[in-house]
Amino acid sequence: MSYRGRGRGGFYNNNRGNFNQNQGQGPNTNNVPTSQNINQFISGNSIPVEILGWNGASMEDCVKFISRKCRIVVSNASIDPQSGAMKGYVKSQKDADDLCNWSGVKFAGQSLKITKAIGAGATTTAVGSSTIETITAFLKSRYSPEMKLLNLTAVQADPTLQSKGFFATISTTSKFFPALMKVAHELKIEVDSIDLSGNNLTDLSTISTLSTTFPTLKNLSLSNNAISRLKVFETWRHKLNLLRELIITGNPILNQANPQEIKAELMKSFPRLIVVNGEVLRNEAMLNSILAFPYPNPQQMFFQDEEIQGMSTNFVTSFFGLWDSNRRDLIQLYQAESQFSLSVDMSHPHMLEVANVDFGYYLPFSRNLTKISASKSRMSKVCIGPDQIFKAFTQLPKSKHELVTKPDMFSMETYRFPQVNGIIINLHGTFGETAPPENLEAFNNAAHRNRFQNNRNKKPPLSNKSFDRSFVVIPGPNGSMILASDSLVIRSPSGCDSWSKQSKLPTPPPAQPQQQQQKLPQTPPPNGPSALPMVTQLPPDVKAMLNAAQQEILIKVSLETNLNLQYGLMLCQQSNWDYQQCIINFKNSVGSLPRDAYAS
Amino acid sequence: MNQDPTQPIEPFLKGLVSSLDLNNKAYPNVEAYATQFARQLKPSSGVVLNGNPIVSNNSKLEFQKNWLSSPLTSHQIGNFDCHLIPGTGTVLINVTGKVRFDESGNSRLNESADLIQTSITDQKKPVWGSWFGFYLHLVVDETVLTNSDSELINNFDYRITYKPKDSVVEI
Repeated sequence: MSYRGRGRGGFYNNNRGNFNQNQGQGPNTNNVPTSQNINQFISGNSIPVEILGWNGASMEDCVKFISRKCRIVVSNASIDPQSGAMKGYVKSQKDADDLCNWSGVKFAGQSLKITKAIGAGATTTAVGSSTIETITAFLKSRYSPEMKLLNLTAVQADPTLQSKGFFATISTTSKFFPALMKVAHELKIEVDSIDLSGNNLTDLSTISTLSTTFPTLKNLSLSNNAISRLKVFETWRHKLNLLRELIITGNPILNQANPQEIKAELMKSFPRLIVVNGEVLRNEAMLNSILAFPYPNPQQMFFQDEEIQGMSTNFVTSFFGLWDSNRRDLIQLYQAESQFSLSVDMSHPHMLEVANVDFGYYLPFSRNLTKISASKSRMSKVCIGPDQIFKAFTQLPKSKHELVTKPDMFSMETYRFPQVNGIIINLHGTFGETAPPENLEAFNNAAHRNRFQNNRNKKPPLSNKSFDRSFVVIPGPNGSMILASDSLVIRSPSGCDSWSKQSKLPTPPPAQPQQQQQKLPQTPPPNGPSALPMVTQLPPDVKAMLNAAQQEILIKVSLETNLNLQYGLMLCQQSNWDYQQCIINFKNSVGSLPRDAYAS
Repeated sequence: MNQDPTQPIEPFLKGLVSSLDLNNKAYPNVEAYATQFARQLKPSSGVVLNGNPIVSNNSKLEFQKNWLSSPLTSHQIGNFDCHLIPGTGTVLINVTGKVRFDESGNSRLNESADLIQTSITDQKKPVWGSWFGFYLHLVVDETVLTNSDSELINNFDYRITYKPKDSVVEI
C-alpha cells in the first residue's frame, strides 16, 4: 500500500489502514474483521468461504486476485490463526458455488483450495454468524421479560461487545444500534421501557430506528449522555406516541437551554408525555380523557333489541351467502319500488400496505353525489325494481364475504325503522373479489368512452375491498322479507382495527405470577419486624445483574416503597440507582402504579 | 319525477358535518357552543356512536355533551348517496369520508392537561393527527329538501371505519 494520500489526511488514512491490516494479520486476528461484520449484517447475510494455499502472497493480494480472476468479491477476509485458512464472505450462494468451481486455480505459485465454510463446524462459521448471535445474546442478557425492560446502559463498555470489536471504528459504532434494533425487531420482544443511559449519545440519529421498532414505548432513559441540542428530539416527533416518562438528566442540554423551553419542546414531540426527569408535566387522567373519542369503547355490533338481533343476523348471513354464490336468488327480495345504488369513495383512508386498488368495475355505477351533479345522472344511477337491480348485480365482481368464518372482520348496527315497520341494517367490513363480473357491459362501455386513455382492454385486477352496506328490510307475510332500499359503498381495504378489541391502549401488564423471583428462600411475613429483606434474599439472577451498592439500594428502596422486586428494580434503574431520585420518582408515579406493583 | 329532488342534501350534510368541527372561539359560553353540534338532531333521535347507543330522554343534548368532550375534529366528506323511501316521508342518507383529531392535548374548550406554563404552547393551534375513516348513516325527514335547518334527523349512526396505526387519539 503506497502513501498516495490526499495531503496530510491521506497519510493519516493510509496509516490507519495499515494499522488495521497489521492487526488483522497479527495473532489476535478477529478484532477488525468481526467489527466489519456489522456492515455485512446490515447489507444482508453473506455466505462464508474458506480458502487455503493463499500464503504465496498477502491476503489482500489474494482477495484482489480472486476479484480479478473470478469476478467475485470476497469481503471481510480474515485469517484463522489455528488452521491458517483465509476466511471471507461472498454475496450469495451462487457466488459461493461459482467460487468453489475455481478451486485449484494457481495463485502465487500454489493452488488455491476454495470451499464453502457452511456447516464446516462452529469454529469456521463463528466469525460470520457470530455478529447476529452476539447481538442476540447481548439483547437477551439485557432484556427483562417480566419488566419488559431493555437495559442498554453503557453498551460500549460491554466487555463482550468490546472484545468483538463492535466499537472499533466510528462506522461500526454508528451501525451498532440500527443492527441492535433490527435484531430486537426480529426477536419480537415486548418492550415498555428502555434505558439508554451512559452511551455518550450526542443526538438521536444512531438510535432513530428505535421509534419504528418500539412505537409503543412508554419509558425511556437517556440520562448521562452528551445531548446538547433541543432539536435532536425532532427525530422522534409524534413517533413515540405513547411515551409516558423520559429521563434526560446528566446531559449538557440541561445547562444550555431554558428549562421551560425544553419541557415545551418535549411535550410537543411526545403527545402523551407525563413525566420528565421525575417532574410531572401533565395531568395524566385529564390528558387521557382529552385524547379520547367520547365513547372510547367501540362496540363491534349494535342491535336495538333482541328481536331485531336475531332477524338481522339471519338476514345478513343468508343474504351474503347468496350474494357470494348465486345473486339471482336474491332478486325475490326486491319489489317494484325497491332501490339499489352503489357509490365509490376513492379518497377514504385505508391500510397503508394496500396500494393502487382498482375500482374499474364499480365506477360505471358509482352514485357518489359529491361527484355527480347533473340531475339526470343522479336519477339514472339508482336502480329501481328487480330487473334493473339484478342487471347491476351481474355487473359487479364475484365476491367472498367471510361473515361466518371471520366475523371479526365485520361490524354492524341495526335499528328499527318504524315508518315502514321494518329495520335498518348497516354492515361494514371487507370482502374478497373472486372473479370478474358475469356481464361486462357497463365496464366495456365505460372503457370505450375512455378509449383514448389507453386502458381499453385492461381488466382491473381483483383485490380485497372494504364496504359499507345499508339495508331497509321489511318483514312480509309468512316470514318473507322485502328489501326496500339497498345501498353499497365501496372503498379501499381499511381492516378492522377501528372496532376490534385489540385497538385499545396497552393496559398495564396483568398480574403476573411472580415466578422464582418472589419465591425467596424464607419468605418472611409481610410488614412484620422480621420482614426486613436482606441482600442475601435477592434471587441469584437479580444479584448477578447488580453490584453490591445496587443491591443495597434495591433493598432500601423496596423497604421504603413496599414495591415488589420487579417494580423496585425498575424504579432503581430508571432513577440511575440514586436513592433520593428513586424516592422522588416513586412519589411522582405512585398514583399510576398498578396494585400488583406492591409486595403482598 | 322530472326534477332531481336530492340537490338540497349536499348543503345540509356539509352544514351538519362542519357543525361537528366547530371550535369554541365564536361562542360566549359552553352552552351556546355545544348546542351548535348537529342542531338538526331531534331530542328523540336514535344516536349510535361506534356501536354505542346514547340512552337518554334527550339524546340530542346528551350527544352534544359527549361531542364537547371529544378532541377537536376536522371532517371531509368523500362520498354520499341517498334514497327517498316512497310513502314514508323520509330520506336515507349514507356519508363516508375522513376525519382527523387534534392531538395537541387541548380539549374543545381549550382546556389543557399541562401542569406547567409554557410560553410556546400558548398558541393553541390544533395539531392534526392522521386521517381516520368514518361512515355516517342518517334517517331524515323529507323536510330536509325544503328547510334543512330544523330538527329533522331521526337516526344518526356514526362509525369510525378506519383507524390509523399512529393515532394518538384513542377511539
